[in-house]
Amino acid sequence: MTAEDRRRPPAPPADPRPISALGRGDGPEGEHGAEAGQSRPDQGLSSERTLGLEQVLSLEQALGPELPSLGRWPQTGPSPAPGAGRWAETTARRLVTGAGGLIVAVLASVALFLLAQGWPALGAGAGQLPAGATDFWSLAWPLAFGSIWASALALLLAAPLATAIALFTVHYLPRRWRPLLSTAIDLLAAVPSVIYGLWGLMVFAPLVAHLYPWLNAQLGWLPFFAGRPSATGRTILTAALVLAVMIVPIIAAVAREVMAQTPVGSIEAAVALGATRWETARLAVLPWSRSGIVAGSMLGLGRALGETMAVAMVLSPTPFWVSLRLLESTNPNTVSAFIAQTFPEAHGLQVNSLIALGLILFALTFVVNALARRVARPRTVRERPGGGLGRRRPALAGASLGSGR
Amino acid sequence: MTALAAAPLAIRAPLARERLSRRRRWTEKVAAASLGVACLAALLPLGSLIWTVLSRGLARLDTTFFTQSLRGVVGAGGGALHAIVGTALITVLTALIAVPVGLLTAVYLVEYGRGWFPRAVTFLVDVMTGLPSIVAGLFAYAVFSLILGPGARSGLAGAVALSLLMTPVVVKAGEEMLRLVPTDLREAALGLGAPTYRVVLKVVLPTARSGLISAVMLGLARIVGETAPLLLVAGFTDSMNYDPLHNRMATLPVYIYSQWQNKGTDAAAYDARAWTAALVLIVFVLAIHLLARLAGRLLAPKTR
Repeated sequence: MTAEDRRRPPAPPADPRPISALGRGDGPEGEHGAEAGQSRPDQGLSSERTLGLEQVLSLEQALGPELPSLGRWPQTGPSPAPGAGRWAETTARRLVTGAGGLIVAVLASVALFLLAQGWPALGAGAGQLPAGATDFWSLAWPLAFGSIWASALALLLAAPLATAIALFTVHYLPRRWRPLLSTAIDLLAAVPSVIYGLWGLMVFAPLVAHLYPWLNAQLGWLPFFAGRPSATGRTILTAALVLAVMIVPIIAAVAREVMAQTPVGSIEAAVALGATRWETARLAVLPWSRSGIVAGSMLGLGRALGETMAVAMVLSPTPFWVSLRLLESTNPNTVSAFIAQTFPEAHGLQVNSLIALGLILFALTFVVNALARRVARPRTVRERPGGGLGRRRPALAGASLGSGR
Repeated sequence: MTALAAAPLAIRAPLARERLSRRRRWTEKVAAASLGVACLAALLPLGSLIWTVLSRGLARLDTTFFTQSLRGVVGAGGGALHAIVGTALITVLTALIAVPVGLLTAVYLVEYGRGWFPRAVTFLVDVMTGLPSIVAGLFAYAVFSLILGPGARSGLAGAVALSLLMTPVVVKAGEEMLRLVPTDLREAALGLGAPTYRVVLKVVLPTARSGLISAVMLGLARIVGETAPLLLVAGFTDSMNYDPLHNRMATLPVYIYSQWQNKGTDAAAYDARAWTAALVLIVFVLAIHLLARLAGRLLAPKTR
């Protein structure tokens, strides 16, 4: 293929370079077009850039033999019917829009199905509900309390820890070691929750059970640590600790990403004022990343609220129990754990009441995630590498982390 | 960015050490130490977990475990072949649902979407990302009990529940990858007169290929260890079931749970099987993560 084969209508006057270059050389034969254009990903705004001749030629090659609007000379083969391209374009547009619409429809039907199937449970009386409850709300509210309490505890433990880890990774660790620590922390998110459950139950709970009497003796004057400490260690504090381990990587991933974007100017300004490393972190890095950390924490909270298996296995619950005490052997259950424990043997209206509980859980996590989204509003419009101006919410990057809840 | 930031600190530190007050020096040391301790505090559970799974799981990592089901097994012996097969079947089915929907939606959001509708889709994808897995299970149960009658359990219902969890991951990650494709590639292709669909098919998707494979792998890693929804809708069984449309189907995560939950008289044998299944499951998840990275590296467009 030579340049002579590729004569085409003159280019728009604004940017004649690729065409004027046509006479000077050949495009690389057989090179994949898509790979050619990426050679300078970190240059200025896309509108100020020009693709090289080889890149345009190989692009054309990749796009296929008959581009509808290009008069090819000499014309080889029949030109495609004008309607064909338009039909394909419309179909493609409909297909992808349909996929987006499907997501909307599915989520709407999740809410509708849960509502329709959960509704009958609201009127259910004694004898029809699981765990011997007399009416739905007396069943639901201790569980909702348990979910919120356990997740709040987990968040209280995980958020500072994750922030510290992110700060250490981004601000303290030599560049070489950063990927190693990041990967190790991300590994925590890759462990399926049923394995956390098994580990928490058989290894972690017996371990912390030795610690609880001591905590009770030292801090027993606080209502949280009062009472008789559990001998098995399967308390709400243990469950919250396991939950904290599970959400640390999510918060840390978000915080890491935000902290890495701290403007160099802010850091240099702090350094120029004589700030030590910690002072730089406090003056420049932490204020910049505060909203991101909060958003990541909300994301972690949502994850903790929905977490099922680890809690279901670690916690030893007492029905209808509501208490703020952390170390006792009587503990409130959580919504998700209760559903998982009760569902396999449920029948009749019991199933409906479990579905209604699921709806409550859905509403709870929805609110928390919506708040996370709100906090993580795109703060800056920054340029994507080579891709024009892209809006971006860094704070939700951790959302797709993780495995097996 | 941060390398630039760290450099002046490194240069400055020895010069200024004498001039720092004692209080600031101490704060500096305490801060660094406590940050390091925080990292250790998070890594200790990981170490303990990996050690436990390895040390307790290796005992039953034998051929029986991979060649037999639990049918008729009481006490020691038996394997997890039926659970491994079930996990494979359900994962493949989930991918068949979630990958096309997820990738098409990502293409829609990046290449086609204008106006309010894509914003609504993005919002709902975010909502879906935070959907508790057990709620996905309840939804699949509600749908399938409507179609097949109450109490129906099947592998397909499990796949439907899991695809609800996998799709948003594929959409989000796929969107990121498509946005990395340089805009001037698109502009050039459009300038050559190609219609949008062909630009997407021949330029955007091939360029983003490795990233999209990583996106799919991330989605798979997200669902392969999923327990709660499968416990609800796929249930557990001791026998082989190759038919995803009917009857209960065992999966590795539910296998772990049920071995712990329904221990027979020989409790140690059940525990040993649970730990071995945990080991196999972790290896699966890590292998998928590794494949995602490899795909990202090997199939990436050669840029330089």
